[in-house]
Parts: sequence; C-alpha cells; structure tokens
Amino acid sequence: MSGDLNLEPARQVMAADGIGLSLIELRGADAHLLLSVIDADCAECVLPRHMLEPVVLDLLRPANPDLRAVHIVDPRESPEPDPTPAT
Amino acid sequence: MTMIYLPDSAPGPEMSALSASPPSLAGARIAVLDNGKPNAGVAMVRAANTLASRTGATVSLVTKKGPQGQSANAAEPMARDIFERLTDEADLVITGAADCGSCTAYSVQDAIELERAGIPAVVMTTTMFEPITTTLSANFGLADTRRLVMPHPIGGTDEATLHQWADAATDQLISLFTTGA
Repeated sequence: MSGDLNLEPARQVMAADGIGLSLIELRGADAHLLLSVIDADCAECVLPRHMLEPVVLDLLRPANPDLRAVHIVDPRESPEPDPTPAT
Repeated sequence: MTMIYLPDSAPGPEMSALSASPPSLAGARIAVLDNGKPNAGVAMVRAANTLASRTGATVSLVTKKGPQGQSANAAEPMARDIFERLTDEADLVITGAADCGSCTAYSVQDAIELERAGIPAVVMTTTMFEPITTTLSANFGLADTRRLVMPHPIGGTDEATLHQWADAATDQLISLFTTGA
C-alpha cells in the first residue's frame, strides 16, 4: 500500500466522542495511528482499544480499500510515570 | 521484508441469530432499557408509547440498566437483576441510546443477550454511530441486530424534535420487531 491514508471517515465519528486520530506510520497495508483525547468530558464514552481498532478499520476501508489492519497507540494505556526519582 | 501469517487466532465470539419475531405486536409487552445517556429515555419512551398506541401493545417497564434500575453507566452491561426483570416482564425491548462509542458497545451487547434469551431487542442508535453499531454487532456475534437509526444527536436535541423523530420511526420499529429488518 502506498500514498497517504485518508483518515477523515474515522475522524468524523471519533470526534463525536471527543477523540482525534493521526497517522504515525503506514507500514505496508498496516496503519499505525495515535489516539488523542481532545475533549475528555465523556472519557468513558471512548471504546477501549481492542474494540476501537476493528471499528476504525471498518470506517477507513471504503476510502482505503487496500488497508489490512489498524494498530492504535492509546495514551490511556500508558503507565503512569514512576514518581520515584532515578538514583 | 518477509511477512509470516499465523494460521491460528483467538477464538471468535459465540455466534447468535435473532430470536423469533412475533407476527403481530398486539398484546405484546414493551420495555425500555435506558442507559442514562442524555435524552435516551425521552426518545425511547416516546417511541415505545407511539408503538404501543399504534399496535395494541403495552409499555410494561421503563428502567435504567444499573442494579435495581436506579441508575445507569452507559459504559457497562445491564445489571443481572434488570436482565431478569426484562425477561420476566417484557416481550420486546428498546435499548440505547447507542450514540457514543462505549454506549454503543454495551447497548449492542445487551441487545444480543436479550435476543439469546428469546426477547427481540431494538438498539436505538444515530446516523453518526450506525457504522460503529454495525461493526460491533458483527464482532459480538450477531451481525443482524435490530437497529433503529435516528438523526444525530439525541443528546442536546429538544424534546419536541425528539418526539417527532420517534413518531416518524414507528413504521421502522414495527418492521424491526416483526421481521427483524
């Protein structure tokens, strides 16, 4: 798969839940996307990543028929920084 | 680069089919399962009342989905006691509103659980979230969930408009309950 990825079909729906999507990298037919929270008023509204990835894939496929998989980097899953200073 | 594809995968969801659709709604008991999203109850209760008046059904139960029906978290499945009340007190269920990511996921999950128990269940969603409802239905094992698609948004729309939308959806609601489509 080559060229840009059209994210608009997914962005419109995700925006309704207050989240954004941006492309990190297109690796072959796999898209690696970054989720960003742009409105946290309904934090529980946003699907967990394992449900979100197939939904985003289905939303993107009509405009990107060669796309095979979507991998989302979800900042909600990032571990809290260790407050203990390094020694 | 060499790509290696594994022939195995995680088990898929348990596949289901719609429960039997009644040929007529006369005498049927309709329940509304409200996930607490803004205006969900307004739209679904109106749809249920209009459906009842058109068909000779009755609205037997309006409840939120949390324990004892006292409250609801749209991002959780219905409480066990609410499931038991629905299967005891209703023949048909309208559930929703599926107008955010997680509320769509759990409204679809609730509807599938009710269908597996023999209760036809319609998910009220919106044009914006219809694609998500469709994808999650398939991913959860029942691609053909009964989906009533309303204009978007339900939350933030005035009551008179919601009543108009609900009334206008009655023919589709009858069809969903009696034919599944």
